[in-house]
Order: sequence, then structure tokens, then C-alpha cells
Amino acid sequence: MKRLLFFVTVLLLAGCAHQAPLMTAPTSAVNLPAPPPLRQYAGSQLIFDCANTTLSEENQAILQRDVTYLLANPSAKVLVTGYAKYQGSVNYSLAQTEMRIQAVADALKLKGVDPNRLQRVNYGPSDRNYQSPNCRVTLTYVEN
Amino acid sequence: MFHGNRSKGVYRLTKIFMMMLCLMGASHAFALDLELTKGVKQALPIAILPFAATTAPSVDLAQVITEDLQASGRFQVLSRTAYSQNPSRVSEIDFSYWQTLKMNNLLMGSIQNQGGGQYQIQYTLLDLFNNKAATQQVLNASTLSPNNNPVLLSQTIMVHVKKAQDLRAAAHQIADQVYLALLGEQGIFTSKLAYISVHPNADGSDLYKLRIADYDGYRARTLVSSTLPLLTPTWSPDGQQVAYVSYEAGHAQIYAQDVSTGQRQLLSDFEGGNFAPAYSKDGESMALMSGKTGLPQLYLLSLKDSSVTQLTNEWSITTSPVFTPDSSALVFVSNRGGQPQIYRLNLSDHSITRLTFSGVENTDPAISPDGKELAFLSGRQGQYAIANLDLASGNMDLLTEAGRVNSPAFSPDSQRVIYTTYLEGRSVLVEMRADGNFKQALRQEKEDVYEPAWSPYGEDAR
Repeated sequence: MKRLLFFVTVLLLAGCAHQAPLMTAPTSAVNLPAPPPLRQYAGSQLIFDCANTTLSEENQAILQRDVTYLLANPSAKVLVTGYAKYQGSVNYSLAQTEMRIQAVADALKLKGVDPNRLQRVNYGPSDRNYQSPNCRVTLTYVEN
Repeated sequence: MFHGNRSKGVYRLTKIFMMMLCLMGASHAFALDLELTKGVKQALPIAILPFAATTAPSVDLAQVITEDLQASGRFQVLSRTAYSQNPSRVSEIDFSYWQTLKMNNLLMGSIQNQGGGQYQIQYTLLDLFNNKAATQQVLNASTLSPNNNPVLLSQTIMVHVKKAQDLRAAAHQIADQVYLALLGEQGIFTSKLAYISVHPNADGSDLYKLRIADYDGYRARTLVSSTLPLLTPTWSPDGQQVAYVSYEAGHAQIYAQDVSTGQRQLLSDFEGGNFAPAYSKDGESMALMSGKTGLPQLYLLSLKDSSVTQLTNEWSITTSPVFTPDSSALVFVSNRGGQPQIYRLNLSDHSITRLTFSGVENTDPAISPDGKELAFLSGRQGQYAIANLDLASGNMDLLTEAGRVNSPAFSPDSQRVIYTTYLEGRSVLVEMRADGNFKQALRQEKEDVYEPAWSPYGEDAR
């Protein structure tokens, strides 16, 4: 567990414009007690060859750390977010990103992580001006 | 230096030069278009006289009509410096003068500002050679009969505008009328574009906008803006709605928005994302891609009862669905053969036929509204060109050079293709003829624009 801490860093959301937005409680006219703030921790970042959608052995090895964390913290949810370089067809790139997210989801499931703990977000190349330098899938742990 | 390839080289230079100039300002586009129409056979010579006005309106109607007809490649408009006569009524026209200038047709008109944003516009289109009385130098009303009447069109329209720029809409309407009268075909000058624009904010974040503009890029307005990405707009077949992907909820959903009222509707919110919306031609269903079963597959969503049918079930990617004009089939992209290629899915027997064979990667299919051609993105090692496939003959042509071009879409008359490319570091819209000629960058603000969609034929109401 201690070994894990050095790569699990708290995300400062305000400074992370290109990260997936937090799930927030719906706004309501009724004054409900504020929900406890969500805590997010950065998990691994898996870099893919943009022409490829399969999980390399290297990425599988990296993902093992996330599996260890998620199995040790069963209440944590995990946000699996895909990004791609803006190059060529936007729709095809989104579909490739979907395949990469699925490859990560499959690997987590195989290692015993309940698929219901996953939330998938496919940004693909949609953040066009930021010009994502690579194709990647990031994991973010979300705890209540 | 020139050797045998002179005309091609000169043409290419002209193209690049034209694009640069067009970016600097639309007023330059005119002169360059003239250059380009010089070599075109069957471009109809026409004189478009400045519209008479007591006080000159801020929009030069004749200039807008000139740019419309010139950009179509079907007309050669006489330069204003090439003539000295300026008749203001039909009876003042010296037919032999215009015939000497080798003009087939002449358009003349007037615009009256009646105050309060109200304008009265009158215009007359003449056939200079159908005048049997042409031996007479001046047309005399008494010589006119149904058989030798040179007046092809004569109309008076009342226009109410909020902004002076909106007079451009009236000019486009007149251009449509002239085009129809002389070529017997519907013009595209009142059609619209929808596209995504991205503006960097001062804090480094981006603002995404779905914008609607005239077909020439003018009069752009924002339909929706978001701090989270917007993607791939597409028009409903009646031109009243634009559907698009929005990440406003933190993941990709498909919305439809009414172009006139701005009213929005959430159409598709499957877990696993909702992408690549495409309306069927009857407007009753929408094809889309979702990863809801884990893999990116195609679905058909009924817009009447919201029922959903899965269309593809493969171990490969399927995306970018587009209905054929008769809605009997969908054209889509799949990498079932290893690399992405374009296929056709017959919706009645579910048979699948491969359409593209040459090229490493073929994506982003767009079918011409007449169903005859398929434009798409043909790529190799990160370099992409717009290609065109004649569906009957199977002949494939590259319409652009390889580079960072993207997102081809056809005009409603199937004669033009719009796409994006990078010029001076900015993603811009370019329109060209469907044969790859007459490339012209559209006017745009300081923004990057992506994924243009061309509306169906325009209506005056829009």
C-alpha cells in the first residue's frame, strides 16, 4: 500500500482543465445538505500507439498497480477516460478510443475488479485545440 | 521553369494565392475567382449591374450575387470596370452594347430603404440574345411580345432586416432565382453551414461553439456554447434541427437543437458514449455509434418512439454512419478487414458490401445528395486527402493534396464539397467543386473551425 502512495497524487481539479469533469450533485431549488466532496486520485496513465487499440504488455504491467489499489480500496470507483490525438477522422478516432477504454475495462475485470465500479468517458480527439500529444487512457479513482 | 507542366503549376499557385487572399478578406475573393473562371468552358457570361439606391446600403447586393454566381463556377461575371453604361431601367438598355461585350444575360435592380429596417428590392434578369427586336438599339415596349420578351425574371421583394448584414440573405435569394432561371437547377446560395468553432479563453481553457452561418461563411451566429467539447453537427433533412455531440454532462450525449427557436432535446444518452449522429432522409430515425456493449457499434434510434435497434455486431470498429439518399442503406466505416475502409449496409437484408479498396485508411464518408458520389478522407501515415469515389464506375479521384484536411461534406446540389484544412496554423473551412476545382477558404473569425455540415436547400424562412 505504501508503495502505491508515491504515484497516487491528489488532483487539483482547478488546475486540470483537460481532465474529465467531476460528477456533481444535481442543482436543486430545495436546500439539501451539501453532499460530501468527492475525492479524486490520479491512477495510471496508459499511452497507446495511435494506430493501435490493444493493451501492450507494458501497459498491462502498469495497470497491475491500479488493480492492486482498487482491490485494496473496494469503495473506490474508477473513471476510465480516453483521449486521442486530433488527426484524421474524428469519429474513427473516437471509436478507436472506445476500443482502448474497453481493453482497459476488460483487463480490470479479468483481474477481479467489478465492472460496475467503472465509469467510462471517451473524449477521443474532442479537445481539438489542446491537441492531445498522444493517444492514452487515464484512470482516476473517485471516493466519497 | 515551366516546361510542359505550366498550366498545372500556375493553377496550383493561383489556388494557394487565392486561399491566402480569401483569408485576408472576402473582397479579394472576387478578383481571384475571375481568374479561375477564365479557363472554364460553359461558364455563362453575365453582367450584374450595381443596384440603384438613393442611399447606398451597407451591403452591396450586386457584389454578393456576383460572388455567389462566380463561386459556383457556372458563371463568368463581367467586371465592373469592363463597362461604362449603367442603365437603371429596361428601356434604357442598349442591347448591342452588351452583346459586343459578349454578355448573354444581364441582371439589374434597385434597393430602397423605407426606414425601420424595411427595404424594397426590385430586380430584373434579361436574356440579351432572346430579344428578337435586338436589331433596334434600344428596346421599345411596343416591340415586346411573349416570343421576343427579353425579361426572364422581374420581381419586387420586401425585406425586413434587424441588421444591415441580413440584406445578404436577400442577395442570396436573388442569386438562387437567377441560377434557377438560367440553369434550371436549384441554387445553394440560401443553404447554411453548421460547424464547431473553438476559441481559446484567456485562462488557457477552450470555449466550444456550435455555429450556423450562410453557405459563404457570413452571418455566423452561435447556437450553443460550452466549456466542454461539442462535436460533429448534422442537419435534419428539413433543415430545422441540428444534432450534435455534447460533453456538457461529463460524457458524450447526442442533442438536437431547433435552429430557429434554439430549443434543445436530449436524443441519446447510452452509457458508453453517443457519437456520429446521422438523420435518415425522412427525419424519422437517427443512426449513431455507441460503445454501450463495450465495442463501438452502430444503432438505429427511432425519433418517433425512441426505440433502439442494434445495426452492427462485430468484433471490430463500426462508426460514421451515413444514410443513402433513399435511406435503403447506410454507409459506414469498419476496420473488419484490419484497416478502416468504407462499407455499405443494406438495411433490408443486412448484407454488407465493401466500397473502398484503394488507400490504406478510408474514413469520414459523405454521400452526395444525388447518391452518385462518395467523398471521404483517405489517409496514409498521418497525412490525409479528400477523395471522391464515383459509385457507378468505381473511379476514385483525390480532390486535395495530402495534409491535414478533414471532414468532407457535400452541398445540397451535390456540386460542392466543404472540408477543413490548416492555413497559417488555424483550422479553416474550404469549399471546392466536387471535382476538386475552385477551392476557396471561407471568411471566418479568429477561431478554429471543425466538422462542417451543409444544410439541405435553403428556405426563405431560415
